[in-house]
Amino acid sequence: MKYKLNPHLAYRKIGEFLYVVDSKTSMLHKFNETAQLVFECIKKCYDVEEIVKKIVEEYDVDEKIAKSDVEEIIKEMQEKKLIEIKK
Amino acid sequence: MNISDELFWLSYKNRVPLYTIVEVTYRCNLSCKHCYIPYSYRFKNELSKEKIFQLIEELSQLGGLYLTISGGEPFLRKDIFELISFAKQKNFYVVVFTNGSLINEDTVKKLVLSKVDRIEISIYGDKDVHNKFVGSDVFDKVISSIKLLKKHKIDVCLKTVLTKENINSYGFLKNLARNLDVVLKTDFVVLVKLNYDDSTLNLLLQDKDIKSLLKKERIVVKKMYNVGNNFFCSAGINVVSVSPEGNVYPCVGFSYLLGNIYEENFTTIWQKNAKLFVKKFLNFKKYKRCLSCSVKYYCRRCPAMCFIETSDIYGCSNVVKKIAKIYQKLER
Repeated sequence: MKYKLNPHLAYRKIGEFLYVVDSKTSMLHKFNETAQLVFECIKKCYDVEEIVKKIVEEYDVDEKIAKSDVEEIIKEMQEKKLIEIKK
Repeated sequence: MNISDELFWLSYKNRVPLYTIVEVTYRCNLSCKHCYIPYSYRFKNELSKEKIFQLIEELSQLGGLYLTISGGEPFLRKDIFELISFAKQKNFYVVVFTNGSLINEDTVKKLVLSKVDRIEISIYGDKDVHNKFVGSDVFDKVISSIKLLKKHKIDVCLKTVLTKENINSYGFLKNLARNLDVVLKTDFVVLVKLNYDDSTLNLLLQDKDIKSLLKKERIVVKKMYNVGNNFFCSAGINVVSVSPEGNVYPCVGFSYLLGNIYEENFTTIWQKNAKLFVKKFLNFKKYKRCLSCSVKYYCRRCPAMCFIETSDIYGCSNVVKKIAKIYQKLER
């Protein structure tokens, strides 16, 4: 499954976090390093499997743990309406 | 601390230019009575598209997130949509300040494509008051612009400055904003013109009107300001402004020159000249006058106003002090 970014986002990495503003809600969100990587992968149209693979490569973690982390981050991003399923 | 406060303090502490205001032109099709830009400035050169692109690129590298495109009237520039689109490609939150008189169906379609985040439109009263205040018969056009933007789901906000000339329009403006389903931002501070002409100050509200306004708005006045004897603001720290000639200033209307982007790149100006300015600006010991001032706890000291009224960054603005005195009286 692939996702796409909400088109109304403005964002910048400042210090170690990525700050993301949704201009439709004026809400500001903060992403840690792993969430940033997921965000970048979604921007590049990676599907979930590719994102998991990227996390495994980047952090040398077990695939099961990476999958669970990615799914949790994606769920949170979806709940906050920062991403949606790409049709 | 919420995320907004955290981001503010992070950018403040690390001197990240989080908020930038770029005045892309001094040209304007209207002549608002309180405008701080002298008429003669309209004939000055203005930033090229390429220079603005370079500025936006540098700001994005330095951590800038919020970009306000202002003027003059930005929609007088034919390349305005390219400027907005470029800033959006660089992931900025983009706001455009406009008088709303040059917006039509075609403009709105281009704005939708540009992905602009918000349009802020200045309005001063009903048709008669507004047209008199801006020196042109544009009220109906402005209202149709707001409706068009709303129809195309672009975030719109109305802004007004209440002065002696339009104080009675406050109720009208609140109702108008409610009926149009938009936010109304209100201010009553008038700036001295950039050429030090202070005739605009004649428009400043009388004390009784400011008091009445604060009461109407139910603004709770307490010793909320300068509790730590903090006489500074964010100017030059996480806020910066660039004028149509390419001059870099700590904030809009704060004519303390930090450099010019045609002579040095913005990054150098920010990392070198602005850093020196901040060191000077934050020199607490220099604010002797403020430290012993009877209204220091009520003063929203604006260094731009202090500087333009006195040519001294540690100086005292009569306008700011007048407002601080009103706050003090209201608390009693």
